[in-house]
Amino acid sequence: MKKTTKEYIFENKDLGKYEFTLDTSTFEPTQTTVSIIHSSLPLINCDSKILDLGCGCGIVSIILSKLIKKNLHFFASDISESVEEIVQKNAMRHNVNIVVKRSNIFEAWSNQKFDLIINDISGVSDKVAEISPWFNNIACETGPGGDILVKRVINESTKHLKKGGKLVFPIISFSNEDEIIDSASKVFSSVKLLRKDFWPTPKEMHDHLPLLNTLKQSGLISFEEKFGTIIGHTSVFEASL
Amino acid sequence: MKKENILQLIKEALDAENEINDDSSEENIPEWDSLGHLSILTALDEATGGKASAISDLSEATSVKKIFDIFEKEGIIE
Repeated sequence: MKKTTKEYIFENKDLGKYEFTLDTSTFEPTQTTVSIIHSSLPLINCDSKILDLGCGCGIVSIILSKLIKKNLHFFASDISESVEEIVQKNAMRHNVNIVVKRSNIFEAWSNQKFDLIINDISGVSDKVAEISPWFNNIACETGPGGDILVKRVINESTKHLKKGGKLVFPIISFSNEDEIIDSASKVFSSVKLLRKDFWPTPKEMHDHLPLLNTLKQSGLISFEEKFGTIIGHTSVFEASL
Repeated sequence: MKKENILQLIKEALDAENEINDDSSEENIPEWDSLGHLSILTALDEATGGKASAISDLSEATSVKKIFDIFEKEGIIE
């Protein structure tokens, strides 16, 4: 199937305005992406070797490169089939150097170690994915707790971090936050919350409140009902070896 | 609460460059997007001691006029 590209404008008061090329296989940046960029900024040192995991159009690497005027070495990967073409196009457009590979999580980075791994691969409960607009009705194989992919990233990242290295990872409240934090605490010496951002859920999910409440009561997801809407959150954590 | 306090609270919640007045809404204030709206509601909730979170119409109140109308109906505006 022929892929069509589109222009995407990212604008944020603190981070600036940027234009990116996306195609049909690229996830659009979300509020989670913004939270990750804000959280990662203070963790980057001169000469850092950084892996942007689940890089999409390359937005995290590109914005961090533009904002931090230091000698950084960015590596990026995503499972989408056009990731190399899209990220290189966006990197050239913003005059940034990124080594980009198509990869299922760490597959293409065997034997490579990084100072910082910034993970933008997250998940929500597969039951929530079915009723949300986020996955365009594509099956989301993340399990009822939405934790399968994130836990895999957490466990495998320890093999790809240098001594003293850090992993930055988000948890969406429509996944099993406690289970994911517990998993990270088992393999990292320190797991620290960096920020928590709240967001209103899309209206199409409100018709499924009984299902969401059932999942919440089972401890698989969390959310708040306030102001006549459903409010979720994204937490970003720093895990250190 | 006084109306002028609500206007100031909305400006601070949005970190808006422009002044907020009776005609302000998501249509004419760039910072008033869905996340900005949630910031406004959270600030209103704190200022009203938790009364705002129980008002179900507030999620749709994306203008100063609508917020004033709801708060008048609820007896929150002095």
